Amino acid sequence: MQYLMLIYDEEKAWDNFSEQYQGEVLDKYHQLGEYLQGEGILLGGERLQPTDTATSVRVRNGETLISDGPFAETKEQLGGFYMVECRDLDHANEVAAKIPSAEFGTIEVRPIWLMQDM
Amino acid sequence: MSESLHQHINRLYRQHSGQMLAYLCSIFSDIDFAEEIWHEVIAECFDKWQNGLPDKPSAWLKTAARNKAIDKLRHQQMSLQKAGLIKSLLCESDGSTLQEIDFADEQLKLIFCCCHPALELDKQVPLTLNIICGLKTHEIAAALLVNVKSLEQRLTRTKNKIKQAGIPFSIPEPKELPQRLNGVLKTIYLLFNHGVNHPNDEYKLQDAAIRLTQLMNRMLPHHAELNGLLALMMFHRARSEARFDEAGNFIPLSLQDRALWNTELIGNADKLLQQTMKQQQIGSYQLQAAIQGLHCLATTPETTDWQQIEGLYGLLVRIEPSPVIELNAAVAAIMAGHLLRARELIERLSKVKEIQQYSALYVAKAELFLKLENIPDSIRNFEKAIALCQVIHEKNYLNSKLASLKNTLSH
Repeated sequence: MQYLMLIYDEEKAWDNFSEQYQGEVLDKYHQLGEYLQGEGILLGGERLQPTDTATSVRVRNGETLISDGPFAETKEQLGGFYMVECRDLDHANEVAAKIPSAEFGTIEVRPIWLMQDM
Repeated sequence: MSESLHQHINRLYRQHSGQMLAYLCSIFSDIDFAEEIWHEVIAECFDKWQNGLPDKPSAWLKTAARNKAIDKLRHQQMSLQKAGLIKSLLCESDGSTLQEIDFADEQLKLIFCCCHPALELDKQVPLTLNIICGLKTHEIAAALLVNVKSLEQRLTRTKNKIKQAGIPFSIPEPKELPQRLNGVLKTIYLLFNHGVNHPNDEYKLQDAAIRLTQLMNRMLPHHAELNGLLALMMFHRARSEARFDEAGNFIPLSLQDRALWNTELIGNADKLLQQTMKQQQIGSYQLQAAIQGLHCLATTPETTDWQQIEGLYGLLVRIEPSPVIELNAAVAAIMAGHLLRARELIERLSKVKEIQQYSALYVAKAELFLKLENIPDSIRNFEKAIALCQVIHEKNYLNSKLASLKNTLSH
């Protein structure tokens, strides 16, 4: 089964982490990436630039509305994602728990809506 | 005649739903599909049993379910795995009456599925009642006091999540098992409590919860807290005949007719608890059971061992610190005559924001003032308790208590 792991954490808190701690976290991400590749379950994943760099696009009544910032102001912000192939939800949750940001943020585990299910 | 066939089939449905769905889920890993097949089997009963029941109805049901499963498998895209599955199904023996312990492994997997932490409690309880306990949607809605339509939607959404999110039918890994099992116990106890609060528990939630726990006990024996929960529920169940009067009014423990208590059940619960506590793995359910046991073993309210109860609450608070448990400890202190201690506890609790809108806090204060023979302050607190009380039958009881208190004041 395919899952998207959405990584949410507080950007402000990240900014306040020491450079050393940030480095440790990024190292762990690197190791995780290798682990997932090794397991053969990694389908994709990226770190995202902070929400300051986000732009929101809506089309209403034929008009394209562009605004600065993420779709909504939230306490935790989307910072990255992984797309993984897992046996079942228990396996997916196990993988999600390994994501470094899980220790100070939240990982949302979402099953992907595969076209053949429709 | 046909009315009693209906009832008979409904009884079998309820009795065997959990097993049959577990059996079918082990083949198809799909609750919806398993239900479809099971419901087809039941529908056939109404038709095929018109001229009389088979010798062994449950054996008939199982054979019919198996045959339908084989049929459905044959119609699906064939694979080596499916061919093997069909072969093993064909080799299954028929003809023996279903025992409660049959398909135990599969039932356990289904229980863990229905009580998965990815489902919130409000979804786990109706799902467990539907799938494991064999209750129909309208029965669950009535038992949980919710609207039928919204319950149907909730169940549909829950089953959809299981399918789409891939919640598995499996026994959790050993390192996850303790936490997952605690989750199941919590759900079962919540399910049980819905039955306790219903005047006649007409859908027999208490019995369903007890049976389910007994079943789990056979598969996971010697689990101290599981047995603790079982004993706790048995003690509560033993008092259910005395808990409500004919009009559905709640009768508090101190006023219950103890002749209506089930002494055999109390004896069994007590024996179970004693054995369990010997394992020296004390936990919250065992302590709660011990407290309820002390109530059950008191032949009159006056002979209740409040000292021991107070002590047990003291232990319980350490394992499970919560304002509610501390409040119960305070009430036990009042009843044990340790008024100073009770007052200290209550004063400390009154500062806890979480509990300031909790009716029971003011009941405790009212009872304390009553013991201190301060009727006006007692009345004041009963009034506050009533204003905050959300449960109809408790509210009625408090009102009657307030009325009699006001009576004594005017005399």
